[in-house]
Amino acid sequence: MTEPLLRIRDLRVDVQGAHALAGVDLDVAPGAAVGVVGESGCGKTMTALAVLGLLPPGGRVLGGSMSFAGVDLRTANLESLRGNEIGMVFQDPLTSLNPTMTIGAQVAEPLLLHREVSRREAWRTAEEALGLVGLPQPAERMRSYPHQLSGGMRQRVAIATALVCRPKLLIADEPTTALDVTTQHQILELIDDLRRQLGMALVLVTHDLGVVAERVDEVAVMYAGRVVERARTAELFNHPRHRYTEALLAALPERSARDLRAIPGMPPTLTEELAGCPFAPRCAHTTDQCRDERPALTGDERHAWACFHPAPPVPTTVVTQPVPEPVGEQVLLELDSVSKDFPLATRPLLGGLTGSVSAVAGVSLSIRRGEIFGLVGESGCGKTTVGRLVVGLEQPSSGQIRFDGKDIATLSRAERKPHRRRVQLVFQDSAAAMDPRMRVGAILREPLAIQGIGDRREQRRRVAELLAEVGLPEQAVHRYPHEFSGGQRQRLGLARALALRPDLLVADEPVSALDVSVQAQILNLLRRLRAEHALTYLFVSHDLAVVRHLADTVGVMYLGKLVEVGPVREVYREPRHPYTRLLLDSLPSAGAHRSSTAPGGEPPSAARPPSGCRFRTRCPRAEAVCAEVEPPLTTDGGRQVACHFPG
Amino acid sequence: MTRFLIRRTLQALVVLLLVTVIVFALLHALPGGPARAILGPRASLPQIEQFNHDQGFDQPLPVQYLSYLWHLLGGDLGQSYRLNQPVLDLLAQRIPKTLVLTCSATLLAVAVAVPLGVLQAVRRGRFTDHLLTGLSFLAYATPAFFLGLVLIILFAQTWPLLPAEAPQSAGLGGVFAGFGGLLLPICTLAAGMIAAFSRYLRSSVLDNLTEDYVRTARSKGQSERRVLVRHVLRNALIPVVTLLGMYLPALFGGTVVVESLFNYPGTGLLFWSAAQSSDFPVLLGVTLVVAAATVLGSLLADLVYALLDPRIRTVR
Amino acid sequence: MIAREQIARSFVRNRLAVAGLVVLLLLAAFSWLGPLLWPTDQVHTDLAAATLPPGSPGHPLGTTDLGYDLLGRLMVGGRSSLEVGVAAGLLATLVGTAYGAVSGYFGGWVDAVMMRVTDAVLAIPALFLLIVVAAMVTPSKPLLVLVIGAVAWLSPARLVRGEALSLRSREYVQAMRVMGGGSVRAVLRHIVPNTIGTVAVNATFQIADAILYVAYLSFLGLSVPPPATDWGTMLSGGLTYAQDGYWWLIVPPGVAIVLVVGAFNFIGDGLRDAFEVRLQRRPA
Repeated sequence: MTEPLLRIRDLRVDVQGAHALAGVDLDVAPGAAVGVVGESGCGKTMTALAVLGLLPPGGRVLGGSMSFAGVDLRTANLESLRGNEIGMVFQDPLTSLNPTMTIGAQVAEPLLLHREVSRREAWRTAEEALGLVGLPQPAERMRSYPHQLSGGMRQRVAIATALVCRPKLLIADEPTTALDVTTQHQILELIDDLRRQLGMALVLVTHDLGVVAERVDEVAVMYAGRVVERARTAELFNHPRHRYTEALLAALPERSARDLRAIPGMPPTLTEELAGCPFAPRCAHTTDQCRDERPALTGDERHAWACFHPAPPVPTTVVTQPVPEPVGEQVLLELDSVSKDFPLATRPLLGGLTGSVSAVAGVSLSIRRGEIFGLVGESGCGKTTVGRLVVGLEQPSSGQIRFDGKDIATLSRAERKPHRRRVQLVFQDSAAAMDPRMRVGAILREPLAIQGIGDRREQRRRVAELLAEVGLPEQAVHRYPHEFSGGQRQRLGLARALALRPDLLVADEPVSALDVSVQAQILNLLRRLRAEHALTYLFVSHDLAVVRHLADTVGVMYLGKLVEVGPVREVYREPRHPYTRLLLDSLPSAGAHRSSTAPGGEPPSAARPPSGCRFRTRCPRAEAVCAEVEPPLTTDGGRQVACHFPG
Repeated sequence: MTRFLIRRTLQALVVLLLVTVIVFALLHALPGGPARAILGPRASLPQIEQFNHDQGFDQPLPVQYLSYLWHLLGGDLGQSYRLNQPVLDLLAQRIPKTLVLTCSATLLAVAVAVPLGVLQAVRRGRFTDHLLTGLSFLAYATPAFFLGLVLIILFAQTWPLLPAEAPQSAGLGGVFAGFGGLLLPICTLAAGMIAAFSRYLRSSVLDNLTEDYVRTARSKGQSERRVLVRHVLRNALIPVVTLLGMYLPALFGGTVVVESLFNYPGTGLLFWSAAQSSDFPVLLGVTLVVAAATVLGSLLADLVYALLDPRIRTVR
Repeated sequence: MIAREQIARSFVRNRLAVAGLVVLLLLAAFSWLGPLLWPTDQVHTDLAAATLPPGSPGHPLGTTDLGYDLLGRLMVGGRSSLEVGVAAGLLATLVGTAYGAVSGYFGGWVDAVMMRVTDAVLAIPALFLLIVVAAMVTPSKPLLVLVIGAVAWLSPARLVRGEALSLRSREYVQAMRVMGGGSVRAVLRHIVPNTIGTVAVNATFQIADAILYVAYLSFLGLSVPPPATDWGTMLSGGLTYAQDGYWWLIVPPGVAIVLVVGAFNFIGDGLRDAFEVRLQRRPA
């Protein structure tokens, strides 16, 4: 191996008393791409920030060494390296640009700081950089402000800023996590291209194993502030040796069969020093040695792991399709050309636009009893509004929602309250959906109290039952929601939704905020609960892999329209709507091989949807008719698709 | 932006109209009604009845309100019975003086509060921060007239550096010639503003320092100082414009106290002496004008804010 | 940990807030318990013993222009200042909270009209309004409370309105609706309890402001009639003499006002931090 460009040895960092990094080793060769992956709190972002000396307040480097191109980073003048030799791209493009500075001024800034150039030259170079990252009309955009650009475009600006001085190393910290899947795909491709074009090294920090697969040369897996495994990418995905990596891959919904191999428990808190392997408490192969002694990275340049009992070097699970649960024929929920218009937000400070936007524009679908219906689409497509309409948080502007054959709009006041018992909602962020002043006991009792079910003693008994059902200890009733971890809070949300013994559960992105290992726990729980309680789910998600894993039927939405519906297995194998195909092609996957069709453009505004087929502006198959006639959702052999030229 | 302008201006007009309703209501809430207020406490009953008839005060209230409004539009704010002059004339003489006082105090306050607030934010949690926090709370808790008096005793009596009385000249030229006499009133008026503004700026800078864009700015290799000046301060200062608008009522209230303490013949002193002699036409006239100034001032502040913040300026 | 304990703990950590609380308790004890230890005649004037300097026998802080013992008078004055301040502050908070809650919960047109009204009243500087109203009537303690309450309700009204508007759309209120709960439950069980922190914090600031208003009003010549007094009246009464060297007529009441207003502000600030901390603290 050549002399590494970036070399980190035994890096230890404290952040406000927590041992955020407990001895990180990492090498990045010139021009190489290294992925740093791990779950939240594992230290991947801290490693990236430590390199540039950008640790948050209360953070300090305790020990170890970092060098960049032979320069000791712990003593170097970091200001002259940042943005010059090392560029950095952050997670949230909406907040990481200065809202009151023009794009041009922000992109040109590193040049003015690090190069002896005139303002005019800097401006011209910045404009070139914007062209390089694929921003349309760069000259005009130079004078724009960040809020005038979409999230994807802003991330391009951030990348241009990081690259404008042609750094030797680009550090990208979750650069696509805040973006939609098609935009994510575009940005990852862009980073790939630029890296090759400019010959720079890349450190890609992410929680998403799919993002690093096939995009980087080498992957480092972090856990509890350490690198626990490092290998060539293909090697790591095919033959993980560390038990944590092995378990993490098995927890990925796209790689496994029916039941995910969830990792029990949670990552350790970093406040106390661990003597042994940090994964020991959650590992199925733990011995006394693991608990007492800290394993060192062993192996060779191609593959190293820090585990006393590594997995045998044989191929792991291959992708198998989940077998759908048998679903009855009886229709439980039916939407009939349901539309929902919202008046356009009249924000007084922004000048109060008028008009309205159809968040949902004529959606028809039916869900059978016992079915899991996955509703997918990118942000702003209306999938969440469909969920809110079904639970009655919004009233449709037109169309009918029938539950068990009855139009819910025609329910009388007296009928409405008992109807509420039958349809419940699980939120993405259960913490926000629970009154922070109430204890868990009161929170779980509230639905029973509202519906007047049982006396206080019976309600208490039911609460205990519910907690047991979702795998939480009975003592949880005395605690407040903010004292629980994300996964535990989703369990609480489920428990509350189940309290009224509903028939239909609407789950709005219930696992999106969770780490992979915890996500697997919740997905398994959802599956078990359906089987035990004969539940039906409307599962709203942006994550196609999760929907493929869990759902029986999938519906794809685009700009308020349902464009394709069908059995999960068939739709994923052979998408018929070009938008579904685009989504599937954009899906980063740690499992199957990725095709590399470059998808174009971004979704237009829902306030001014294109005429005819709403997808035509991005569609490779679009013809004249698509602009004139809106394709209806037509049924063909158990599949439904709304396209003039279905594949 | 245009829509915002129109909307905000309409809002201000509605508020202005409501202000006239309130002042009109106050006029009628007076013991003895408007006749008493305008003729003064010595007027006899027949005089009052005659006056009520002449002025249309025996008409239904809505009619009276409309005629009141009509007079206002013609610039008729009534007549001071004590000074026997139109209220409008009295105001015209005094408003420029009050403006000199308030504008100087505001300028001083901003000039002092901005560096103080930034200093507190940068030294957050350290001794300087705690000291300045404590001081600004104390400044806020001190009644302006008490502070003014302490300043007089210290700087006009113990160490006679400055006059204890503000310039009395009728014209603005005289006021500027005797500007030394305005220094103590200006400081007294500015003290509360400095406390409020520096407090606000401290938290505004702190909030901005935790924003992601600041981390981005650092990642470009800028020095802490440049990050603070080029990025943070720009974003932290824009909302101060709104704060200025919101502080107007307190500022005008302060002029009453300061002008009467230092005997400075502005609108505040006019108002105070009117209160002493129950000169209601002057009281209500000044109130109306000051309220209008407040409404227009905060309208102006919002418009300037909109101009400064590209997020509002560039909305189609 | 219990929530109340958490609030208490983070309040205690704020040293300025604790200092404020201690000062306030001391001042209250001084005003109510003081006269038991230091009984003085605060009804009859004694011109023979007027304007005695501090340290005079029997008058540790000296006497006023009318011969009242200053130390004893501070105690009596403190009582009215605190009474009027607390009563007016609480009245303003009560009225403002109700007004703001209605405006925020109903939203739409009701809200727009109600908020324009507060804008209009707010446009008239409080001091102007106070003086006009006070010029119409002769002040007494209950009247002062009413008048100050009448101008001070605006800030809690706007605050609670904003709070109610945002709480109304919180996910936990939505979750409750999905369970079949109605508006009454939303307001009583979720919205009101969650605004209490904000209201409590604001109430302390309101009390501080009310005490200042009393002082300003008496400076402008509108105060409770003698022999009753309060710190503001004492302070403004001493103003004319202060420039002639009778500094002790203004310094003790002035310092007392600064202390009590400062104390309430420190307490409010500490409370606000404490409430914020509780809601922010989440496991990492």
